Amino acid sequence: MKCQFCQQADATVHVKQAVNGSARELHLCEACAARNGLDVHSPLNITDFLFGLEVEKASPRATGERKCGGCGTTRSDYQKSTRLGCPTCYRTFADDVTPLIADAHKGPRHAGKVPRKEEKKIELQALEVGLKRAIETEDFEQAAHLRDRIRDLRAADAGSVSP
Amino acid sequence: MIIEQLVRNSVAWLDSPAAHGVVVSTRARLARNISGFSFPPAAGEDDRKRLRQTLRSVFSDLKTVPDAVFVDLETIEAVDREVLKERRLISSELADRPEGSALVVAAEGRFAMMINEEDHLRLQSMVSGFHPEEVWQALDAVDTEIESRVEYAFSPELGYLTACPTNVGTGLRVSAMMHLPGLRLTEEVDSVVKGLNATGFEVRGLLGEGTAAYGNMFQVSNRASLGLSESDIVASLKRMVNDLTEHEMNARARLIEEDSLRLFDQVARSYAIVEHAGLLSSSEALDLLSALRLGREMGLVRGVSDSLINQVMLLTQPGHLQKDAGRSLESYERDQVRASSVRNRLRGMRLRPGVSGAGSDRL
Ligand SMILES: [Zn+2]
Ligand SMILES: [Zn+2]
Repeated sequence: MKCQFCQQADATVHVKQAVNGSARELHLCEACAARNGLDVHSPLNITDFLFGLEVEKASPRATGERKCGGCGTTRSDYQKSTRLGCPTCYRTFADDVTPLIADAHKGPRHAGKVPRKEEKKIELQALEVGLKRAIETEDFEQAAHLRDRIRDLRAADAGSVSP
Repeated sequence: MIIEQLVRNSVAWLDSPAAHGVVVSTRARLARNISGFSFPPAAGEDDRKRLRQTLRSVFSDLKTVPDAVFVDLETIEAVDREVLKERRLISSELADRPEGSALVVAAEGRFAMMINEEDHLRLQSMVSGFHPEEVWQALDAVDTEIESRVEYAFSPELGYLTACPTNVGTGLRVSAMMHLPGLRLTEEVDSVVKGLNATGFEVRGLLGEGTAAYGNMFQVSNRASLGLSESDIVASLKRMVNDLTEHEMNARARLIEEDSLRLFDQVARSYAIVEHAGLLSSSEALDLLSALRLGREMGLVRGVSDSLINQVMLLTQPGHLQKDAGRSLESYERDQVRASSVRNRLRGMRLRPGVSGAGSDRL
């Protein structure tokens, strides 16, 4: 496919955009994209650029093709199905997901049940921070105490395996 | 064999004597995913089968559901999947994509867990009547035991991660199946539904296609699952369902006070059609059964129980009729079979003397 600006070089930058409910695609060569102030490695700039081109108010939907490193789901897959492919998708498509979450839910943070294993992880992290601080301040009595608790917690987690 | 029992037996969560009145049943559902696997919509068939295998061994010896039976859905007949769907043990999504999916049932269908639906695990628990704490606690116990065996996809910020961001957080949805014929007859149901939708609850028709509420059966559930705890969800649904029940009872009282003849007329007509119809479509049957259920609760219809009417609503859906017939039936044939099936199942039913116009002339 040829670049839609110069009609000469091959188009290597492809941008999809939803305008008033219909999809619009733009195919540019890298040179034209750069000449128009596009950093091809940053989808956000491409988005800004396209919003600038649009006379009508474009939909606030995040745009620019993006692919999840965890599962291969692309942004257009997600926008079509509204289903994420894996836990990493929550970070990959945060631009799409965050407004949806704000709209559908009561608050931005989890306030319910936490798996026991996760509770342990959080507890361990807190103990390790405390241990580091105790060592820095040369409070060796406290450090020894914290080290014991960390060891106990790890041991309980690993069953009979000793550290 | 197991599936045969499952699709032939009565529906435990619907036919208990407790399944009467405005709230027919309560259901809770937890969405969970296993860390390290893509969510089902993005996973290939092989991945889904691998995940199913992992969960098969987990479910083989859980203390909280010792009688759990694991059914690979591609190994059963399409008509059986249809029956399971009509009993609300599996969703349409699962019935339509059986490869790599499974249903785990326990406690005579009071637990129904879907594997590889939209999420890896959809744990469901249901009981007759309105018991939101009970269904949540039952699920909580099973979930805690599963959690000791697997690593759930979880983030401290967003809670349990789900394929659809609308289920993230607790992954909990608690719903009540409500029979609201009074609000329909007083033409208040639309404004009530609108009001509930605006206040963070979801209301949809339970039976039939799309949003139409055949049989005046509605499913009411919480929408938000993030930013509040499980007990918050249970408590807010409880308040709302109790309010709605009171609304429905007030509407029925007004019907009796203001125009009892119209109410008697509705019930008596429904009775007459059920007694004499040669063809009954699914939606017509549901509406007639709804009127008879209302009539029974107001003492106008005798000789049948609410739970029997609940059963008939379920058992005369297309999948069940074809299962009974042992072959597939054209729509015309189904309507014919349905008409006689409804009549036979409600054989003991009578109108209270004085309810029908003709009856009162004779008295
Ligand atoms: Zn160009
Ligand atoms: Zn992903």
